[in-house]
Amino acid sequence: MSRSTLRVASLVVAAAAMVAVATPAHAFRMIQNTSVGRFSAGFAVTCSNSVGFVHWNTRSINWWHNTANQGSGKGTALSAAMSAWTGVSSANHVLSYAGTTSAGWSTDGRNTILWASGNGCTGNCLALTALVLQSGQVLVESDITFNNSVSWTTSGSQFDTQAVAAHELGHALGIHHTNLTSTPRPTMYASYFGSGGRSLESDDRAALQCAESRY
Amino acid sequence: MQAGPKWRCAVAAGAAGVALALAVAVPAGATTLRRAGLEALVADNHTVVVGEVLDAHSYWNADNTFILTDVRVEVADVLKGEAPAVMTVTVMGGTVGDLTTLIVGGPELFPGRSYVLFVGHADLPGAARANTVRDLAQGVFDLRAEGGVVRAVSQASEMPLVPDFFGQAEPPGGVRGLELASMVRTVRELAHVRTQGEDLK
Repeated sequence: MSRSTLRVASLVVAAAAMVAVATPAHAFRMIQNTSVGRFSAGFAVTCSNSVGFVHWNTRSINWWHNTANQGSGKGTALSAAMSAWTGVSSANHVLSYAGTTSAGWSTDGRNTILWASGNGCTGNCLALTALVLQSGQVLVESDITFNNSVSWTTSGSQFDTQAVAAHELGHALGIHHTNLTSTPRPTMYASYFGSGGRSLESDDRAALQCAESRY
Repeated sequence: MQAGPKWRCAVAAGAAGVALALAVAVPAGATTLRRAGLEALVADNHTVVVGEVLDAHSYWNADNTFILTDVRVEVADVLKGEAPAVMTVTVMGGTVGDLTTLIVGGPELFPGRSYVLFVGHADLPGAARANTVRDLAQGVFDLRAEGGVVRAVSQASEMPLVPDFFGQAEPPGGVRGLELASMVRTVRELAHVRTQGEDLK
């Protein structure tokens, strides 16, 4: 093999290696509702999608906590999960723990987090998020139900309440799962990975900043 | 009345026809679900069918507290249990007027498309022990044509699954899915084994 051929070959190998290790800085996706008039669970789209995505028209989002069936200490974990999203810079969304409620899994204008064994979340369902939308893409309410037949902890062991709450609250903000697979894993990574999900990563923050800048 | 296997070819042809349309849509998956293998899906649901969605009707439940949707499915093949020629499955969410309730991680059921559906009882808001897709996205397999073969792809293939007790986190068949014919055989066998097991008790 000639020297020039070797040089070209080594350049190609080097370039391929760079491509192989390169990961996009951000790979978050947003939830798009295309279901007006029919039944759907929504779709994953990029921030620049021309149809848009589900979003709040208000920045102040109060969450109520139904403490029935929950075990102990969950309020602190929920507040911490909310604080993570509130703390995102260049995004003015404020998620607040508004107190306790007896409200359930219902469309009542109140964002509620609760523990139950029904609500369509049973068996292998650990937690479920419902989004209530007006005019197609405008979020007006969200409820999160945790399956109380599962063991929920606040210690970081499986299943970690704060990590799952942070993930579900991300969905309630209109954020879908990220395509990013590198570590540290974003909270919106497409799998439960323990208490590491408590803290937001750059990709998570960029998703909320995207919603902030677009709406 | 049970629908007969004569419908299988029609389902396969229909699936081939909609394959391109299916390819452009990436269903949303979210929520937190623990992975359920085929064995668990068969065990936990009383009925498994292959069928085409005819239509969907959304409405407020009796308490006016939640939007539900009745989905009518023309049954092509019954793999477990019994089903009428047209069965109705109730799911959470839907659109009534200007308001939509979207269940993140719920099943996507579009009129005119065919699926393998795992149907069981679950308590929905205002509908106790409803006939529903209790395993949400894990309980629905899209039918897609690939190289002349119809494959069944779990709607959970694009969503987070908590690993099951065996450490597996991928739904049956993964993103490529299972050959429909093979899946049908497996589900029938699993259902048969369960029936025999129950007889022995």
